[in-house]
Amino acid sequence: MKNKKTILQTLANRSFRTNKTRNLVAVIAIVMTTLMFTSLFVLSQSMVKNMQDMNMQQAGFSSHLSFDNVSDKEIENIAAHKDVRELGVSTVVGIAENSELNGRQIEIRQADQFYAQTSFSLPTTGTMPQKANEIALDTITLDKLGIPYELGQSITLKWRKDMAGQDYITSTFVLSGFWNGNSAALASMAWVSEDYIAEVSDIGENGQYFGRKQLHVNVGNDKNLEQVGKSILADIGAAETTSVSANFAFDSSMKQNIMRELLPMVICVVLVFISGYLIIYNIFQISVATDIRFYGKLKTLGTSKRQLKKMIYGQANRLSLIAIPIGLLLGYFLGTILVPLVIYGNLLEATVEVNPFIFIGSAIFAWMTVLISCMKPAKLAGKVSPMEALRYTDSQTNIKKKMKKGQKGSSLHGMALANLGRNKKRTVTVICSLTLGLVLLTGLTAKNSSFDIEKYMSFNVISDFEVKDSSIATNFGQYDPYGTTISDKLVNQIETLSGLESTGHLYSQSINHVIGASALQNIQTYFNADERLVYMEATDAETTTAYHEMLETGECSSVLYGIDGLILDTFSQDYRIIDGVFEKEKFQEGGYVMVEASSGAEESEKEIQPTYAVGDTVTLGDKEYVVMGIIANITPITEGVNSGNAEFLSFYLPTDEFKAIYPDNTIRKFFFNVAEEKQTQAEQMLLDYQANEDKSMSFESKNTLIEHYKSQTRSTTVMALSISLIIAFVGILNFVNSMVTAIVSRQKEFAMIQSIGMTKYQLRKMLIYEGLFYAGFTLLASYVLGSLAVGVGVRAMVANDWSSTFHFTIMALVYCTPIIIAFAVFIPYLCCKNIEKQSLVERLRATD
Amino acid sequence: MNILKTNNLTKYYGTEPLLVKALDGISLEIERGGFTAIVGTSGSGKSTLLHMLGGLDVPTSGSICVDGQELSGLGKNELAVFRRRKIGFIFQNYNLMPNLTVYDNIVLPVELDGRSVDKEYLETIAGTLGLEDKLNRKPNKLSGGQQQRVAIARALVAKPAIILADEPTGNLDSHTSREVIGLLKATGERFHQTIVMITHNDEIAQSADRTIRIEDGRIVESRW
Repeated sequence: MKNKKTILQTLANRSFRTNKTRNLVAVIAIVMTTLMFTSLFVLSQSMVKNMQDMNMQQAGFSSHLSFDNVSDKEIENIAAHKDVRELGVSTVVGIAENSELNGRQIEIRQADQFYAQTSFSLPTTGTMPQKANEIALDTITLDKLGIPYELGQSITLKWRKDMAGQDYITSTFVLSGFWNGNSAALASMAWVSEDYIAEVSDIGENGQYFGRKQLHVNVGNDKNLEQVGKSILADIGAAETTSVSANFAFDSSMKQNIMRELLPMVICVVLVFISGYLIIYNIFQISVATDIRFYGKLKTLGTSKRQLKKMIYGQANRLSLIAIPIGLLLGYFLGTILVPLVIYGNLLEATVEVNPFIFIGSAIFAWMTVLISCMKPAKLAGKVSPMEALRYTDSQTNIKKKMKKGQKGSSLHGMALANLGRNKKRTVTVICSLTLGLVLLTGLTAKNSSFDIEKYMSFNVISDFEVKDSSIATNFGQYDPYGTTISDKLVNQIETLSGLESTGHLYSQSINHVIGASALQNIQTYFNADERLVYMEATDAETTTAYHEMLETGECSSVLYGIDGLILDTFSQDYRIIDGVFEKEKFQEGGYVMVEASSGAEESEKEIQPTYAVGDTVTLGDKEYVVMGIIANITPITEGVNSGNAEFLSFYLPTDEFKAIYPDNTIRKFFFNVAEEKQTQAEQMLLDYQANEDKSMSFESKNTLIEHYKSQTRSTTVMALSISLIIAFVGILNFVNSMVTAIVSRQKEFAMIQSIGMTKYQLRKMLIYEGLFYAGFTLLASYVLGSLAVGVGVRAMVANDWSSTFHFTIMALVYCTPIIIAFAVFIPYLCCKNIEKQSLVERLRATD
Repeated sequence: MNILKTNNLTKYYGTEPLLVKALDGISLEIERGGFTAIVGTSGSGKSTLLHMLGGLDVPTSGSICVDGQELSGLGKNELAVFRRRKIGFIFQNYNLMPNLTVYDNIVLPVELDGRSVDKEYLETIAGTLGLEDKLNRKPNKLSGGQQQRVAIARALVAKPAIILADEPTGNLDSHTSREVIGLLKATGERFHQTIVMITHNDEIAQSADRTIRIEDGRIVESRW
């Protein structure tokens, strides 16, 4: 047995070494395939990880369960419970109320290491506070306070125990630690020590929150957390007031969301496999075909089919052994470059998640691709008939037949065309390989260019600038309808801006509304559909309670808006009205109200919205209004805090009507448009005002948002584009390899044809014709399929996308056309030069 | 005793009216240990016959029996095994593996069969054929006669039942031809091998123990 191995290995070894170029091409192909697999896996894994992180950030914590309002005794019991693995405790102190901190909730708390860590708020520089005068903050808070990121800085915070009272406590601390703040989180933590709590515990009454203890708990696994939490509470016999909530980031619906996001990755993996198969198969097929005599000889000497197959697989394995590690390494680097580009949208730092399984998985995928690609060539080698191999003279002999059929004599391009037909399978493989990359590239660029930034922005901002009252930006507390951020002075400055084109004011009041029968019915229908209620119950206890209360009492918290100016124009735009007709003049005259849908216009499917129907009568204030229409949820208008309770209905009245009910209301949001050339000046004015007059004033400008969104959309396509570029590159490699080998393997044939009188120019011309036919067929296939992909596929994808406008474009293909043609001309040209180095006689005599 | 026996062997190519009868009823018996020459003009069917005998090709009808083994029932893989155990081939164009050394070329059939090489036997063969000092060279560094000697050594080393040579001297000059045939005969006698050889060369045919002439796929003359 040992000897058999040795001789087959020796044979494989030797033929491996004599075919350096072929091996190089094969290695590059396998490297590319592995590289694509690896970077795709690194990307998917990182996407999963980052999405989980993002969900946790939104949940506010990373542990499985969070307990609220627990007593010391209960903490002990929970810690001793059999299901509990890890536990962290935090004691609430209060909310920092320094005026500079407006717009951000800063929770002053004491916590242990685990709690701080599971709140994403463990100091990365310095430590958690130990002494009574120490504090640890995040960078967002430090920025707001205008304090540099240095330990030992002095920090003064103002807070009160009783949120209703006026007894403010002002303490000065020393910064003992800080960490990078995360603006996606609802609040920032300000960690103080237990000593500080002891110090202030005697001052005044304890109010609602001071001293309240909360827990973060990890249990054995992340299944059925809701039930596990409830059973823990039941097991320890907790008080009524003690509550538990499961981290919704572990909810199964979240996991499904993540799977859905990964679907494009799966498609990419399949495409990579196909492209890898097409080239590796082709390389081995060519290699077996050129070595057919070698295998035939071995057959005559009695080599069995199995032994021949083993040799082919042996070669494949050896190539894989060289190429796969390189591919893994390169793929990892590509992945790490792509991750930050692909993962966006949350303000988190994208982390590259790598575990050894990625490499094992990619290696197995790549290896399987190689083995599958070798199956047919190995079979071919195994099937070689020794007789044929003995007679086999490099080229098949049907070339003459073809020419006779033509009856036109032997024109060069006729011969070239016939030559392509000699190995139809190979020709088709190469054309497929190249076409796959080109079509993919074309489709993606078309999809990409269909994204319409103006259309997209029109749904996200309704004006060039937007100034907000500072109280709508807090996540805790409520909107102050008499806020002072948009002061007369600011309004005056804006109204006197040069180039000001239009303005719009938004006012609001939170009201308690007695719901009409039809609306109540609609609300229930809406929530019962699509498992919305189930989802809400699983994720949002507060809203669920409010929902049930609403059903019981027939009343709910609602928002009444007053609108004018450009907001009304926004209402008149396409796609904004979900039901009814909005007539601006009629609306302004009074007597009509607009109600709001729960979804944006992008979810275009028609369904009953959880609000009044068009034509219903609604009582607001002391007057009755007729519902004119249902307006889609428009983020730039609705965004911001209201009563702090769950609101189920929103109403829009003209400003005049609104002011009649609430004459003292100040502006909630001020929208305004400025002429293009004056926008920088306007922005500067706002910045100056922010710096000199009111730090808590915040605004958004359309230009900054456009920049932001542009960078986002750029990055999403980076990955898809790089994958399709690599696939296109693999296609080109396949094309080049096939052409070169086709020419090199026919040297003897060329010598023969030259010996009977073909000049070298004619030969070159014939080969260039071959290349051009190759390119022609590929481009033909690419243009047909590419146009189909764009005209049908991309059009369909874009049709339902509210942020896109379809353009038919195959520019990517047009750009690639000259490259392909250049290859088709230059490769034969260079090969001919190379062939000419040997004399005709040498080539005629050459065997093997 | 007969080492090789064929009975009414035919090989037809194509169908009527283009039917080509490459072999048309060949029945012959060859005794162990002899040197048989098969002669005939181009296209007479002698190469086809040799391929049939070696299990490279399958007859249309008739039977072949080599060393007591009936070939007609064998599958492709069994034929491969049959070849490497029972047949030693020598070709006009040597058919050596260009990327293996002379030594590796010689031992190839044995090793393919998973057997170990009889070193002593190999050395004797190499000595007889004058190849001792060339074992580590590549075939393309050898002259035509030397390459054919390597092929003879390869044919002998597996101790086959029969050696089939297809115009072994077709590519050699007359002097070298004589030398190679001499060696082939001598080694055949020394190692008790049966040799069946196709040739054009009458001089070589004369030196055989037995001559069989084939024309149009039939045996027209068989002479001891």
